[in-house]
Amino acid sequence: MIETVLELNNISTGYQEKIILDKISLTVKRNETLAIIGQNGSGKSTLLKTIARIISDNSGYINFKTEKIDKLATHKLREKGLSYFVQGGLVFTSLTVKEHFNLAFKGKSKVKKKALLEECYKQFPDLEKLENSLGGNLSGGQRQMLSFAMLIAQETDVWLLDEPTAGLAPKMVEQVIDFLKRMESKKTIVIVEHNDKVVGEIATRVIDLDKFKN
Amino acid sequence: MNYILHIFVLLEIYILLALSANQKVGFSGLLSLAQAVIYGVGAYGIAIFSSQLEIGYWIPFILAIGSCLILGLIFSFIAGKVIELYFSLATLAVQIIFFSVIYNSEFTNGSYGISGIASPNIFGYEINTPLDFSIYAGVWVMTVLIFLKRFYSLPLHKLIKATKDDEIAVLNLGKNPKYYKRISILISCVISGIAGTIYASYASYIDPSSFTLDESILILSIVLIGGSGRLIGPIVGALIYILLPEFLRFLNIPEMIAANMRMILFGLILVLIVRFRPNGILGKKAFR
Amino acid sequence: MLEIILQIVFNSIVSGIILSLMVIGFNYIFSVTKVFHLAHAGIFTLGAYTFWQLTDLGLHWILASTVSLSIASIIILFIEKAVYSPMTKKKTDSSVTLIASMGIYVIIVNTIAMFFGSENKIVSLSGDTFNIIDVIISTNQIIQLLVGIIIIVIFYLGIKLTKLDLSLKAIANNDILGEVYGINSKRIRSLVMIIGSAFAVIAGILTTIEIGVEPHSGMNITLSAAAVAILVTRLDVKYLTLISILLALFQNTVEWFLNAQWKEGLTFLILLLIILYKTEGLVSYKLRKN
Repeated sequence: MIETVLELNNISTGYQEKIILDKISLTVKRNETLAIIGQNGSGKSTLLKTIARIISDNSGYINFKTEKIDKLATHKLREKGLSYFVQGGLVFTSLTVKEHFNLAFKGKSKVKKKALLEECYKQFPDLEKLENSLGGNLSGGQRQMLSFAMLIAQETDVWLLDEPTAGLAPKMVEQVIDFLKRMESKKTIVIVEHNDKVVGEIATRVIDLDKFKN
Repeated sequence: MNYILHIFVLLEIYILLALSANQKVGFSGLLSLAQAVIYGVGAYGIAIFSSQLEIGYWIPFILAIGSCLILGLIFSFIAGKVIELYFSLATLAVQIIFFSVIYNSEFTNGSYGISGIASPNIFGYEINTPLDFSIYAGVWVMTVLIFLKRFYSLPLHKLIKATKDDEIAVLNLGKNPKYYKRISILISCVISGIAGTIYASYASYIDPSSFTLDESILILSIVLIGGSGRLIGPIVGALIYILLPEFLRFLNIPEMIAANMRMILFGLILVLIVRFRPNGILGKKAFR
Repeated sequence: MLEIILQIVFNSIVSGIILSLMVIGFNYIFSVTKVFHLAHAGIFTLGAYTFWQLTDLGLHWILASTVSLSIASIIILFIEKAVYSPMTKKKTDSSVTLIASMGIYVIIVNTIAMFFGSENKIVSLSGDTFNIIDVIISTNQIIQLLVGIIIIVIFYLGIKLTKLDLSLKAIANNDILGEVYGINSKRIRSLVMIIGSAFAVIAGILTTIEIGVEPHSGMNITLSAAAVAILVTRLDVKYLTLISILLALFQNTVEWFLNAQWKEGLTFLILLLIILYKTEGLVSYKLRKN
């Protein structure tokens, strides 16, 4: 069963007057892993931000699953099943690791919460020991792990990942690749990535934005 | 006639205060909430120095302006340490400390204020009547306007403006942004100080109630309403502020209500301006 | 001497609790919306005057408080939607939003003065006083203390139980990231505006029953609250209450030994030094420096 999960139709987007992406159209099928590559400034992050509705003054339209999401606010997307890994693995500096999860679990049953928390700690055992540390006290790598765990905690099926391996040590990049490989069959992933190795190992399809441009 | 002259003197004082605030806000992007402090130092300076020293008017005048400059150095120190919101809050603190000091100290005679303040004496002619004061203040307004007009054509002024827009760029030119902020603040202080001396001599009585936080907010809003960053802005703002009650009187609104009404209208215009045209109040760096 | 100290301490706890109400409201609004909401002072006065007017017309105090809270909620929601929220959306600097807030303050206070005049309004519930170990305590102070503590405890437990504290901290920390994790940041902003203003209204009402309120009397207590907000950047009800009581103790001691006006001057002298040398606030999160 091949099903279109995400469809961008004739999207032009950017900041204020500056158009960064002009008339982009693309579709993402269920459970594929689409890698978006391109030079710095080619608009990879802008594209993800537009899908996540962080940039909202675009033309064209975006379909997510069965509905248009152009008019939706960012926070609505989570309940539709879309998560977004923010560049640099941003976390809340004043919330503990546990509190991050509690935030992601909001509205879920107790049993469900317990299962999800176990899953998070199973995938990222280090986080269990850091349960009570503030986000602001985590190292760069730990923050990125927490951001990945948040993807699981939110229990969404479509993930937008903005350079999830940027700044990580090679050993940790391997961990990320392993993690994404484990997830790949169950999730639809759109990943913006500089690291060729990551792209090569996980992507089922690659789009080069530089080629799109001309 | 005297009433019109009285209005005129007030207008001139507020033009000076607004020009002073404009130098800080309009050209250096320093949203100070202590505009009334320097004004107060000028006023209290002339009152105290002239009564304590008894050596005519002009030496106390220079001492008063000198005091304003010293305070200006304190403000430039603050501007060098903190920016944006924290600069505003630091100046807010200075405003409240200043009020506390003049309200409680013996040398300012606390809440009773100081009366019998000396008038300027020019070659034996004492400035005394409202007409004298409107001319005297007018001369100061013209002097300041001419000075500013000339100053605006200097390269120094361009660098002051550049510091507001982009401190890093000024730093890259090998110049020290703090220096340009300091110049701007000192010019502003001299102008406010002059306004303070005129007010003290004209009213011949001052008390802390003229130098409150409300007064500071008022001066700042005069500049923002008139349009900051241009020479004409402060003049327009001061005109609106001074003529508004006359307009309300024309509409037959009772005096008691008119005072509040003026502030309500002023507050409203202020909110509308910062709400719809916030750009340009601070430098571009604030909008990245 | 001992009874003087006890008296100062007792009075400080009472005024500290009222200050806490202002501090908690101000701090949550500032942290979540980034608006340095000095118009909080106007809401304080507005609440107090509405309460005074309604009880004067013979309304029961419960009804009068409810109506005061409702009116303040509607007004603050209008301010948030018409001014603060659009300004934040345009990424206006906080110092410019502060000016907008001052404009709003001027409008509210002068409107009140225009309709009600400028004299002090007191709602007299009880004039009784009694002594406990040489400390003079008025019934009104007991009411202030109890109501204040109950409100603070309800808020503290309320946000913990509903997990609202997590959303508040998250939005205060990074609103876009909060949105990414499914928090409706606009709703949180409106909510915090309403709750914060309710705190100011209650503080205003509690002040009318003891010393009374005139149109400008909201500003001094709000400035003290602002001072605490700069000192404590951490969103923690316990800390905020503790620091408020300490500040009240400091101010009352100064007031007793010097005079009333120096207390603001000294409070802000300390604040100025803190702004200049420790802008991040004294009680903030202990974060590892990178």
